[in-house]
Amino acid sequence: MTAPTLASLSLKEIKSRLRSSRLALDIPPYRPIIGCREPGFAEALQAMYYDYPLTGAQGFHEVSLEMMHWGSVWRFGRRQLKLGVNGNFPFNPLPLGQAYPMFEWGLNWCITNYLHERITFHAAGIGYLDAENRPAAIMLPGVPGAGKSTLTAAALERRFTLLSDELCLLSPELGTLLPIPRPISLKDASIELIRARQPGARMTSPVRDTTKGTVAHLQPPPPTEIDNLVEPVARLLVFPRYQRGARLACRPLPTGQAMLRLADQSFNLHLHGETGFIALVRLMEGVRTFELDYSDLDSALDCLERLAAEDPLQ
Amino acid sequence: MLAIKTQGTLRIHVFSEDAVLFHAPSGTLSRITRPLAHLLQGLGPEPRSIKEVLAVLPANDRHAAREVLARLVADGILHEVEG
Amino acid sequence: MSPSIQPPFMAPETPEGSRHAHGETLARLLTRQLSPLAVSAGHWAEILAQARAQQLAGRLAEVTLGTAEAAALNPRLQSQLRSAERIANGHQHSMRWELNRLAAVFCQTGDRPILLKGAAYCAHRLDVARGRHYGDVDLLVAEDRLPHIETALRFAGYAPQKTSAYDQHYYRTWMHEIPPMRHIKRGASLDVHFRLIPRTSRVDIDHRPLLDERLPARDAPAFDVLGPAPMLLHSMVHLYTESEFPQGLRNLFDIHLLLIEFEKEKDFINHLSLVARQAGLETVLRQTLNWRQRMFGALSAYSTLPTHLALTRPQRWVARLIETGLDPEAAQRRSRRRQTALGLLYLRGHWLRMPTRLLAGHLWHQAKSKWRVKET
Repeated sequence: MTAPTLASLSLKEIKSRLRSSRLALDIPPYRPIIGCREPGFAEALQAMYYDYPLTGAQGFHEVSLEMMHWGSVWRFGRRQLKLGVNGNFPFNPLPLGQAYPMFEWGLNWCITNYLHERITFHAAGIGYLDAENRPAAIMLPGVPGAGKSTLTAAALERRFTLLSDELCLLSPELGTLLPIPRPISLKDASIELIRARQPGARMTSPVRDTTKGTVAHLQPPPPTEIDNLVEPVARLLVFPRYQRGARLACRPLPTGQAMLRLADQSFNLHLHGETGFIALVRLMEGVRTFELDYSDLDSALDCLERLAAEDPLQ
Repeated sequence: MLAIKTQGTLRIHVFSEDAVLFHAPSGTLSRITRPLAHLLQGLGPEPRSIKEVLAVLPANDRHAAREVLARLVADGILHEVEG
Repeated sequence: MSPSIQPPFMAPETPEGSRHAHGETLARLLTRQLSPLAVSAGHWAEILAQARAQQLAGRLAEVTLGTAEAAALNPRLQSQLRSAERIANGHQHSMRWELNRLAAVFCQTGDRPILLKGAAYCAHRLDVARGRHYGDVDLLVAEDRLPHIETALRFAGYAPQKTSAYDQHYYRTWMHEIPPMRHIKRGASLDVHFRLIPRTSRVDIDHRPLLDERLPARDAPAFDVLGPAPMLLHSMVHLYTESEFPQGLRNLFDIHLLLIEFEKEKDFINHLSLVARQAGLETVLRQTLNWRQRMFGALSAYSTLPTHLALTRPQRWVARLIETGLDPEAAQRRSRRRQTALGLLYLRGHWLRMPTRLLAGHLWHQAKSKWRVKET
């Protein structure tokens, strides 16, 4: 028995629910309730989350996100958008037109700020099945600009599945990663690059932000069985580095060094104390670690596929 | 003669090429060499003389190791005691 | 709200969407006067948000997850509460380590500072420390030891913040502390005070009775803490004179918990009253007990104290202002009224602390700095 998805609502109905902050979707790990009156937002949401289940507007919602107008033309010369998270407004406003990226960003913020039962890392994750058909994953930690989002988006053209383009959530008890399939955020040149490679894919209209460049989101593959997502074990830890014109180079890293670099990308390792250290060591004992310099996307993907195939059986 | 001991739990894990150290009370996570790891694994809540502790290392490595120990003392991970 | 303590978990079901006045629900959950199951799922999301805004989520989590009813709560709610608890534990952990490092510094200098506020609650293992979030470490030292201590702290990695000549002057001369310091590696914030209450305060008090009862901190023997009555009164003075109210409810709740813990001692109430009189803090004491009663429910032990004194006109106005400032629900509604209330409270706090001629100049300078800061 599957729940109705966003596809079952007309755009008009979506807009109506958004206007009264009554639209709730099942977007792992949360069931956010969403409110927004901005033109274009409903269309973007519909395009990106078409196949995601609706949930009731009643009940407990850990996350409620409202993108709303703030400020007056007379005071600031322009209106702006403010992000309300569960009724609080912890952030500075953004220019109008950025409601959709604001929403995605808000969801990520709610994960890194409110979800601490797992160890969260700033890393992309792509899944695959190993030689014994067991769910496995490659973690791609990255500083911004390392190209991991583009790599993730392109990886879906091969036999990789999407865990996340931004956040890896490690269970300290099980050692597995929680898939959080969501639209993939692309920036600047990546937008056209992916559009050219995946002409049939849905994307939001690019939003120009003078400080961060241009942002668009790519619709993820339809999530199957959202309430029963399979959690893979990470088997590869690859630190990608995009460098224009660089030759492909895949270098193994000493495990301790990789562990520290991964720890640097953690949001909440310090909240997990010794348990966190043990979980991280266990993760590191089960992965092979590499640094990957690339400029050509397909060569990089060939490399990742090769690494995944070479994975020695445990 | 100065002796040295740990202050709170010190966890060491050795990998094939390097090692890591975790100090629970301060939340410190550091990467260290394998020889240093073996040296630190010999430390505990009971004081041990520094000279004895460093003796497990080749003579050339002792100076560098002494500096690391000094830094660990300054950071509160190790404790220096008279004795 | 009835002035008597209600038996735990005897409140009726809250209809979906209804709002208690003045953030009552959160206050009643925190004091176990309301069962977590009596709060509707939809309302819980608001409560959690209020608690987070007030830095009370950790305590709320600790109180709620410790009940027998916890297992019957929405699993996602339980999960959020566990995460909130983890955050508070993280704060606790950081505070303990910071005190460990500071103890090492003061062992060298030979001083025994008095820990204040949160640092004291943590170091003395008081109930109020459980589930608490921490900000700065506050400690009190002798004024003549300042130069020596400042040097030692810098040597230990604490760098002064706010180094403009104006700020230096403001903090040292008119406040009661050196400008805040921050550890370059650990990022911890440190406030070194040399007077318990600012020299310029219009709340004119006698410090000596407050410093008389100092005793070693249970879990940090290198430091002292204030005695129970002085500790309470110090916290009350801060609430009373606070110029910023983002954590008004949290501060009042701290006071509530301290009272509960300390009044276990025989005759504590009389002693508290006596010290308040000696220090010139009777008004502050009465006013705070009043607010505390209205927010968290009174206890009969205080019937000997005149908590229901009729307040004179200006005081009533101020009391209402502060209550609006304390109300987490009003905070959420971003009401004009609350913004005005907070603005006036900010003024009042400064008014109580500084002579008028300085006030206008200082506030103008502060406003200017705020615009310079770019938030990310």
